[in-house]
Amino acid sequence: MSDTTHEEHHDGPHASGMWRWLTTTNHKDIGTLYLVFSLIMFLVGGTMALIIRTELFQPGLQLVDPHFFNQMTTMHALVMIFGALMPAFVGLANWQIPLMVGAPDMALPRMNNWSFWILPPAFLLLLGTLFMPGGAPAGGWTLYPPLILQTGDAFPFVVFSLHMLGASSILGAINIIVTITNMRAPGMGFMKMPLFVWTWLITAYLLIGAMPVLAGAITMLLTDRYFDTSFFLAAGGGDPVMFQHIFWFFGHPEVYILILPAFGIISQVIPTFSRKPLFGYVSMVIATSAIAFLSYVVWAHHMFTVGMPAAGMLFFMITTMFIAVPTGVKIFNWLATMWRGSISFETPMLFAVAFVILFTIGGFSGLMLALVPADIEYHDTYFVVAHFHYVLVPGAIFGVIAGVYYWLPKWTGHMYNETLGKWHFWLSTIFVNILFFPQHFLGLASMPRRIPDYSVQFTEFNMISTVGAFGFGLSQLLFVWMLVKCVKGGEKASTEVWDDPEGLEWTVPSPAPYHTFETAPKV
Amino acid sequence: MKPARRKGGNRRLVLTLGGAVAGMFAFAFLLTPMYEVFCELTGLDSERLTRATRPAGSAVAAEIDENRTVTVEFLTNTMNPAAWEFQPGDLSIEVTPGRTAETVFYAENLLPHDVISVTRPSVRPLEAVSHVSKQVCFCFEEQAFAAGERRELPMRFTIDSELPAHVETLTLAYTLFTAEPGIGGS
Repeated sequence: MSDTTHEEHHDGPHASGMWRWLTTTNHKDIGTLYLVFSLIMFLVGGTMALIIRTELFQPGLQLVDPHFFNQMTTMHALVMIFGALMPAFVGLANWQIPLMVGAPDMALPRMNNWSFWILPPAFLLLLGTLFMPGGAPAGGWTLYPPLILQTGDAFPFVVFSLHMLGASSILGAINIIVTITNMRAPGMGFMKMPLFVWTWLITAYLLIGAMPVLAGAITMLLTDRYFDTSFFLAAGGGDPVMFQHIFWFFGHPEVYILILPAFGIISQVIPTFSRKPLFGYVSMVIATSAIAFLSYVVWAHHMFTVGMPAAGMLFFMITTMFIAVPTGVKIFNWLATMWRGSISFETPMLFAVAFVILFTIGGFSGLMLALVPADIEYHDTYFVVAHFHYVLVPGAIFGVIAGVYYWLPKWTGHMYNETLGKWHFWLSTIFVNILFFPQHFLGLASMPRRIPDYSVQFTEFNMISTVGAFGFGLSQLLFVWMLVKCVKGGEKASTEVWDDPEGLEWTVPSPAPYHTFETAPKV
Repeated sequence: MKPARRKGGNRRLVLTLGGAVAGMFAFAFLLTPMYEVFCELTGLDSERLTRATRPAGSAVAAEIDENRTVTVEFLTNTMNPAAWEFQPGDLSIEVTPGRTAETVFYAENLLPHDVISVTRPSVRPLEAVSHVSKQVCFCFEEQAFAAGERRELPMRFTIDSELPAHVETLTLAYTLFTAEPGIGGS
């Protein structure tokens, strides 16, 4: 439409200052916006986690009142999931997918701008609830009724902000699917796509299947509270357990939305630093699809204690354990890729190797939780907290960090400071284990989650965990410093950056020019 | 220069995906009736079944099994203990299958104004659900209570003789809610 008036010979942004960022339709600009936004939210959510851990440093009520503590656990989860992790992955997708498939930009650039700029107002609403009468939501991020319906004035704001976040991710997902389907360079068949692109394609389909279901569930909560419906109110013939079913029908695919793109990043990083092509490309694609499919038929394993016939528990237990098969395929493929490779341990590779090991620990505790008889004991204890933090922190977040170190020289044109990177890696890895490993023991000893106080026998492990939390949190400031330094300057990065890496993104100069692949490359 | 060749393809794909999003949103709402049907088919919804057996009366399964008795326990809950006092008259009774049994519950409105209550029943174990039929129950309809009123709520039910032999104890549970008028009609 604007083609006729479009400036044909410009190389850089069409505007400057704030206006550039507000109106940009460039995938690299929008990728940067997403990544910066997610870093800010990571620090906000991290601060909330530190408040939680400080309160739990000693038994008894020390720092905050229990209601505020509950607000912190709820908001920490919402901010980290919807503010830090999902935007980080979308940011990486924006930067990398066009570069990796040889496209000049995302397929729907204006919608791309829109899907990012929905995020800041949504978080303004969500974080604003902290200052409302009755406080922020405090019933847990799973929003179970009837408890969540007792939220104060914040309730409609939470629901509306989640609607906006859902809309943002759905728009992003549509854009990614259209880009991957229609904009691949000539010669790049589906089975030639890099794995990061594959995992994102599947993730985008998961988003389209799952996010609208969440939107439906929270809409029902809204009408239950304000329009006299009784979807979940037992008094009116509804059933609160039904909310849990609908929520987890979204919630379980959501956890794979949070990990599949990380699988993709690891599948790019490990081959580069092992100097070998990825082992078992086809099986990786099939395994990812299998995980995505299975994620829709395991939801009730989050609800073993709410009451279910034995046949139902058996079904969900078995399907859950099936997920270990494709996941195991992936783990072994990564190991086989490294096997007899000429490995070097630059920072992205260190994070990738730590990902493989620590994610596997999280996977195994997941298998323990899948067992119905054991889960009834573990349910709502710190064992669950340890499990999902192992898959999300040294899992998903390490995946994002590995991706950022891996592609940062391509984005900025400068090499990051390798010494700083190594420090960041070792401190993060040591502290993340000090932080979360003791929580396994606390959970096995039945310390309940989401409670600001605990009995005295849990004190030592909680203290260790809190020390780890502060160590991990402060180490991330090194990451921020490294990022700032790398954007500002540093050793010039070559076009290839690494030692003969595979992929189209390494054929454009570093930093990647504002417009790339205006004529499609041949694959 | 623009990749216009795929414009039409983009539009079609966006519309398809948009349709999928709308479909999944509708699906979330469709889960509500599906959930009810599923619960009914599997017998998980004891409330619906105990209501459905209400008009059956005593005529159908009147065969009396004098050889055994079943312990029936009564359990009461209320979501708002500050507003309601709600107790069973008997904690448990022995019932002969096929013979009609009677018990009472007591409910008191602790609030200084009139309220309406609805009560949701539940039967455990699940395999016993279809063998319980209630002839009289306060759980069938809304109950109006004046300010501070205390009332006896009678309940009459039958357990049929087809009840599996290994079920020796049944629990009938009732949860009492304060209702908006009209919300709890059945």
